[in-house]
Amino acid sequence: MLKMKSSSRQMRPVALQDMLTAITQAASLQDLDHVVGTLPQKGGLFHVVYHYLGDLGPKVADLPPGFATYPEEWVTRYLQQDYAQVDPVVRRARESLLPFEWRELNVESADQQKLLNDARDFDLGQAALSLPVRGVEGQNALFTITSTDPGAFAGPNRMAYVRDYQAIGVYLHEAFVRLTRLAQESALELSQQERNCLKLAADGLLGKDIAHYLKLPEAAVRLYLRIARHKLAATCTGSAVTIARQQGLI
Amino acid sequence: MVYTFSYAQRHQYADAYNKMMQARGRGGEWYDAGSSLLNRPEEDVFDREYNPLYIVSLNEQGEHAASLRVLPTTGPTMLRCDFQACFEPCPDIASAHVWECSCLCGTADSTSPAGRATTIETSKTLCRMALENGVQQITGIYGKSMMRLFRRIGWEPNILAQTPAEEGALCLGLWDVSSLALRHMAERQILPF
Repeated sequence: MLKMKSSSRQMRPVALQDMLTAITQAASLQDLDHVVGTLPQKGGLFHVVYHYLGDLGPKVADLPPGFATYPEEWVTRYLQQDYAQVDPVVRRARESLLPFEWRELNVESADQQKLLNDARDFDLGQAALSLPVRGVEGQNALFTITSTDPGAFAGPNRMAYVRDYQAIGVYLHEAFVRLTRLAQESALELSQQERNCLKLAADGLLGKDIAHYLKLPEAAVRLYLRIARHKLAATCTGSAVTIARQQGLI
Repeated sequence: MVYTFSYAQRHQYADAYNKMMQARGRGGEWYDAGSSLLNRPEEDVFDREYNPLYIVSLNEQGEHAASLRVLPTTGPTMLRCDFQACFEPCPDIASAHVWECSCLCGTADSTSPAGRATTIETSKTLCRMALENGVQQITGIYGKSMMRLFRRIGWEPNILAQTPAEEGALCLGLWDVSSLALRHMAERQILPF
């Protein structure tokens, strides 16, 4: 199997925006699976995994609980052996909302050791960063990225990876629960404050000028623009303005 | 000593968790006793259902000094679930880069250097943890009287909205997460007076 060599570079902003747009516009689980499949190459990663940690319920119980670019044989074995019950990665994700690297985990049981021994038959990467995700209705999921570089997620690199891929994980999760109808689809509307800030940003005003014009603290303007970017799945304010205009919101 | 753990991990940090809950039940300096909206049971649905993160500071005698609770705004939050009707207009705050901080509770005497230092250790831990995990802003609901405490510790929030005084004067605040904020708090922490 051809192994992709990953580097420690993060995804370029344009590629990240394309990724978020593709995720939020996915019309089916197959679409979403395809989008996930393109992530490693675009992000300079080795593998990515989205794992829904909640109860799938009877209607979608036959579906796999997420997507992975791992070798299919490993995914099949993981599901058949029900490794999620003993996986220290899943256990840690259920315990805490903070991102973590796999090297921080300890093997605490024979079952976990068996899982790790099995996993060694497949090249999953030399470093992995897992990002717990929390959905708007409280559902939990886990988004994991791996790299062939053992130090990919260490040091100053970690913050950038966490910042970018935490957001991707959230959108993937929202798309998954939307497409599986595990959560109600809610129309995200921009509030008046968010529209006001976005309109002024579209006119070319900087944050401090928007704050002065709207008589708001600068921190509040940053927040409203951040919320608007989140609702519009935009990586930057410029993209948010473009998307908002396309949707007729401003 | 500062402890950081989640609800799921509370049994491993039983002493810190119990002292935090006892402090919540008593209502420390930070809890605005005049605000009925903030008088919450010791353990509420956000603790039991959404596995929040806690930061608990115990003093040298092992007593509770300060504590708080953290939830991601991409999930259920106190603002979205319980307090939306209190603020007009109320922003629907959701972002992978914003946390909600709640159940702020301080029992240390923050007017004394030692008490202030212990209290600041809690807020510094929150700020550092947020920085390390890509979080850029933190929101929270608190009684207006707590502003003097935030000034003392050197990390003041911006007020996004507040309720009328006759309804208990609750504020929806916003903290910027930055290394500058960490430095301000560190400077306050070593002040001898």
